[in-house]
Amino acid sequence: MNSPTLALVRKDLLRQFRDTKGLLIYLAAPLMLTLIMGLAFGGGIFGKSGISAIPVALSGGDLPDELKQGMADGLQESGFFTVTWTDTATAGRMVESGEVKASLTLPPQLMSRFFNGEEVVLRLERDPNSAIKAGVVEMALTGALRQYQASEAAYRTLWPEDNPEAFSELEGPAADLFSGDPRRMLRALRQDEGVLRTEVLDRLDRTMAFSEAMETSPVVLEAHDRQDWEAEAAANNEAVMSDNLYDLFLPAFAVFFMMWGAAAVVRELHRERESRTLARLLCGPVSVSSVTLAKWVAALLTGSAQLLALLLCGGLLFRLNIWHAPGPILLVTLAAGAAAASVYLVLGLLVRTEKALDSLTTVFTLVSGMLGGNFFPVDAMSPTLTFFGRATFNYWANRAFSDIITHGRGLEAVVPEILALLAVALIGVVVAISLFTLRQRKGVAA
Amino acid sequence: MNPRFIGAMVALRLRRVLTDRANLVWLLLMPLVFTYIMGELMGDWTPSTTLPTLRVYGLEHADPGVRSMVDRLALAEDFQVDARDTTSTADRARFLMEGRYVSGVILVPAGYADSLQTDRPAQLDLFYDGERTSSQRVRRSVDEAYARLAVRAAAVKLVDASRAGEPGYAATFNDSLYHQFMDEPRVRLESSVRGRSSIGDLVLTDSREHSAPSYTLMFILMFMLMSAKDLVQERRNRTLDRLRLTKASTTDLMLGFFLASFVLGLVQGGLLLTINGLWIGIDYGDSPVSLLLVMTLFAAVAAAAGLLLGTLAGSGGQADGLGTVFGLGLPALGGLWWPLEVTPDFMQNLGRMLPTGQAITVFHDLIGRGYGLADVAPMLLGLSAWLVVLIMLATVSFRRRLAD
Repeated sequence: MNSPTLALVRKDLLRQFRDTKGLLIYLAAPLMLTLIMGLAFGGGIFGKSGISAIPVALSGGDLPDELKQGMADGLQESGFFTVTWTDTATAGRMVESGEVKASLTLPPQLMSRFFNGEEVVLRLERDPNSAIKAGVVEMALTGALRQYQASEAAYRTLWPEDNPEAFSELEGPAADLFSGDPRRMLRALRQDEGVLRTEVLDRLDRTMAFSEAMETSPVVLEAHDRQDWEAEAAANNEAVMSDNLYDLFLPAFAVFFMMWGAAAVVRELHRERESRTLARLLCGPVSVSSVTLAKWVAALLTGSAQLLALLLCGGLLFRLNIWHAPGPILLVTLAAGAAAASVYLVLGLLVRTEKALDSLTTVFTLVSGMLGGNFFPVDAMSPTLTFFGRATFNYWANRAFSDIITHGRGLEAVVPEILALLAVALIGVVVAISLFTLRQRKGVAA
Repeated sequence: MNPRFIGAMVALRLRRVLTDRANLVWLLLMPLVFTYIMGELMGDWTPSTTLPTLRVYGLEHADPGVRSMVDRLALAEDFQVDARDTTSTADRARFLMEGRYVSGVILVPAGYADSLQTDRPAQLDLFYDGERTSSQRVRRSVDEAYARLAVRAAAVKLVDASRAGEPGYAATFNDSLYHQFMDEPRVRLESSVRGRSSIGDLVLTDSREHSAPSYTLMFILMFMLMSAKDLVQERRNRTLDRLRLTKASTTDLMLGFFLASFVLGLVQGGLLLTINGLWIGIDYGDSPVSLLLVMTLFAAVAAAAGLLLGTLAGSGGQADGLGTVFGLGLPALGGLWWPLEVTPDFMQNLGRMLPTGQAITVFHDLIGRGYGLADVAPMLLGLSAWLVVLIMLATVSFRRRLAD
C-alpha cells in the first residue's frame, strides 16, 4: 500500500476514533442488549433463571380427594407446573383471564369410564395469549398419554377377546373400588363362583404378564443431543463447549453493531463528496483506487476493532467463551470486518447521497440481521432461513463465532466460514474499485 | 395558546417527514418486513421446497417394525425422510448434524434384525440438535413413532400360538389392528384454545398476531426517538431561537413539537394496523374504543419520550445514540421482541411496568381474549401515568433548554 493510501487510512481512522460518544454507543448498545437477553432467558442476579413454573388448572373427574392430591403432587414435583384443582367453570374463567395457562378437564366418572372400557376424552383448554407455556403443557400431556395409548393398543391387539365391560357387571362393588374402597369388590369376587371370577382373574394374569413384558422392550432408542456429545468432547478436552447463555447473543449483537460501524465509515465518503473535500483530494496525486482502498481499510480496521472490543468486553463482563481460541477469533474478526467493509463500500457507491445511503444501509442491515442470524441464535434458524441467510455475509460471521464461542471448536471448523467472508471481501473490493473508477470516468465520482 | 402556530408546526413537520421518501422505509416498510420475517421465525415456517431432512441409515438391517416406523415417519408434513440401505457411523451422523445438512439421523446398526430374532436387545440411535426447531420437530415425531415400535416389540414377545391358552399368552398380533387402535385411541387428549368464541382460530397462537402489533409499536417508538435529533438540530442551528422571536409562547413551541410527533405516530400506527389487518387478517378484537385509546396513548407516550430526549441530548450524535439504546432496549424489555411469558417472573413484572409492555399486553388481551375497555383499563392507566410523567419531565427540560 502506497503512502497516500496510508495517509488517507490514518485520516479516516482519526475521524472515527475522535467521535468517542459514537464509539461508546456502538459498544454500549450491544452490551446492554446482551444483558437484557441474558436476564430475559437466563435469570441472572435478579431472580430465578428460565421460564417460571406453568400454572395449570385441573377439574372434573369425580375423583377421591387422595387421588386428586396425588395427581397435583405428581405434576408439581416435576417443577414445571403449579396445579390448582377447581370446578370446570372456574377453570375456564382462569384460562380466559390468563391466571392459568391451561386447564385440563377430566370427564365425569373418570375411573369407572376408564376401567369399563369406555371412551375417555381429556379436554385441554389453552390460554389464547400463551402460545409457548400452554404449548408445553400440551406437549407434556401428549407425551405422557402416548406411552399409555401404545400399551393399551398392544393389549387390545393381543387379547381382543378381553371384555372391557367385565367390571361393569360388578356395578356396586366396582363403583366402590373406583372411589378408593376395594373391600366390597374383593368380597364380591370371592363369593362369585362363575364365569365372571374366572374372567377377572384371567385378565389380571394377562395384565401382569403384559406389565412385565412392557418393563423391558427389546428395542431401545438411544437419543444423542448435539449439546451432550459436544459437552462430552469438552470433558475429553477435545473442545471447550459453552454453557453460558451470553455466548449465544453477544457475538451476534457485536456483528450487528459492527455492520452499523462499517456503514458509518462509508458515510464519510458522501460527506467528503458533499463538502467537496473528495474533489480536492482527487486533484492531488491520489487515484480513485487509493481512495477506495483507504476507505476499505479504514472500515475494516474500525469494524474489526469494534468487534474485538465487544468480544473482549464480553469476555470480561459476561465470561464469553473466547479465551480458548484467540487466534481463530482474531481471524474471524478480521475476515468479518473485511467483508463488512467491502459490502458497505459497494452499497455506498451505489447511491448518490448520504441520505440515500442511510436509508439503504438501514434496510440492508436490518434485513441482513434478521436473515443472517443476528436476532435469533444461528443454531435455531430454520432450514429456509438458513437458505436465505447464506446469501448474507453476516451469516458466515455469526456461524463462525457460534462454532468457536458456543460450540468450543477450533480453527479447522471455521475455515469454510472464513473463506466465505474473505471471498465476499475480495469480490466487494474489486466491485467497489470498478464502480468508483466508472463513476470517475463518467465525471460523477466527486 | 396559539392554535394557528401550533397547527403550522404540525403541518410543517408532517410535510417534511412525508415528502422524504426515505422516511417511508422507517415508518412503513421496516415494520412490515419485521412483522413478516419475525412472525415466520417465531412460527412454523417450513415451505415444502426446503423441508428439513431426517436421514435413516442401515435400512437393510431393519426388521418390518423399523421399516413400518420409517414409512410412518415419511408421512410427516414438516420434514422429509431420506432412508438409505447403507450402514453408517456415529461420526458421520454427528458430522451431518454439526454441518446442519440434516435435522436428524437414525442409525440402524448391522445385525439389528438378527438381535431381535435371537432375543437380544436391539438399539437404534437418533442424533439430533435440541437447539434447532426443525430438529426438535423431528425428535418429537421419532419419539412418537418409537413408542409404537417399542411397545409393539415388547408385546409380540407374548405371542406364542402353542401356549395361547395359557394365561399371559396370545395367539397372534395383528399389526393393522394395533395401528388402528393407536390411530383412534380410547383414552385421548383433545386440545383447544379458549379464545374469542366468534373467531376461535384467530388467537395468539399465530405468531404474526404477536409480531404485527409488536413491530408497529416498536417502530413508532423508534421513529420518535430517532427523530429527537431534529429538535437538537433546531436548537443548534438556532431555528428554535428564531421561532421564539415570533409571538409563540414556550407552551406553543412544546405543543407544536409534541403534537407533530403525536399525529405522525397516530398516522403511522393507524396505517400499519390497517395494513396488517388487511394483509395478515388480524382481528383487533371487539373493543374499537380500547384499540383507539391504546394507540393514542402509546403514540403520545412515544412523542413525549422523543421530546424529552430531544431536550436532554446535547448533540445529534447523543440523541442518535440514546435513541438507539432506548429504541431497542424498551421493546426488548417490554416483550415486543418475544412474548413476556417466556421470561422469568421478575422480567414479566418489569416488562408490564414499561409503556411497551403495557401496550402489547392490551393488544394481546384485545386480540386473544376479546377484552373490553374495563378489562384493559389498568394498562391504559399505566400508559397515562407514563404520559403524564414524560410530559412533565419534557416541559421542565424544554424550559431549561430555552433558558440556556
